[in-house]
Amino acid sequence: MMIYFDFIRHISSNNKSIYFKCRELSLSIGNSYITLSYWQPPDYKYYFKTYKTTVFTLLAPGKEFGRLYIVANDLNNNNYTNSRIEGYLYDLKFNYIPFGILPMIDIIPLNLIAIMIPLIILIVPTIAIYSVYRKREIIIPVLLLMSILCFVSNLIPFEMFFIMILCFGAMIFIQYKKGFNQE
Amino acid sequence: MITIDWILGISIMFGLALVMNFYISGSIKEFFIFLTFFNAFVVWSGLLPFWTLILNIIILCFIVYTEISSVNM
Repeated sequence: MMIYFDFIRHISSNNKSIYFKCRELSLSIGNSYITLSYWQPPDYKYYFKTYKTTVFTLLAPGKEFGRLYIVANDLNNNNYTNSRIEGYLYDLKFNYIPFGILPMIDIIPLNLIAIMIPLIILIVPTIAIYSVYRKREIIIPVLLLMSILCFVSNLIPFEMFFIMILCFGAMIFIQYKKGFNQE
Repeated sequence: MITIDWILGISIMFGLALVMNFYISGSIKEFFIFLTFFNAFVVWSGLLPFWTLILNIIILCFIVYTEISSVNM
């Protein structure tokens, strides 16, 4: 069992720690690692070794990733524990290498797996109910009902729900016009 | 620059829209509506940029406008 981090959507900080929301994913083949970069203004009092560097942390497969410690030292290997440091972390990335081959896409297929859940919840009951009744008019109400269920259960964001309502409205209009012309 | 995620996103979007449209034996207008629906998912997953969704919504608005203008009550 492996975990992956959704850096883009779920991140919070209290100026001391950075929290990520992570989900479990049943992928255990290959390597996964986290990279992030640290930047500090060059005219600051203390110059760290980690000035504009990339932290590369390899995650052991099969183990859950609990905490990531970043220890920043200056050029004399002093870490100013009680000092206030100006700088920021950026470019957080989770990289997954299946079968040891570096892919062109890193986090994107995992995002795709994450959206498959609402997509399946939307489409499968719709097709199942349509297979029973065989009426085109049943598609949009079922899709609408399932999208409302997905929205209230926080599976899809409001932007997605808005576009869905737009599409369903257009579809209802087209189907209504088809039925109006057939009469 | 077109990368592999573009190919992946466009295939998923068009594939799902074609399957759904074939399943309900819909017209080209219904196909475009399904295309917008699945494009929203693909944009949400980050495979395609946001302007593809804007383009799809513009096409959708044009389709709805032609439907409204050609309706005979």
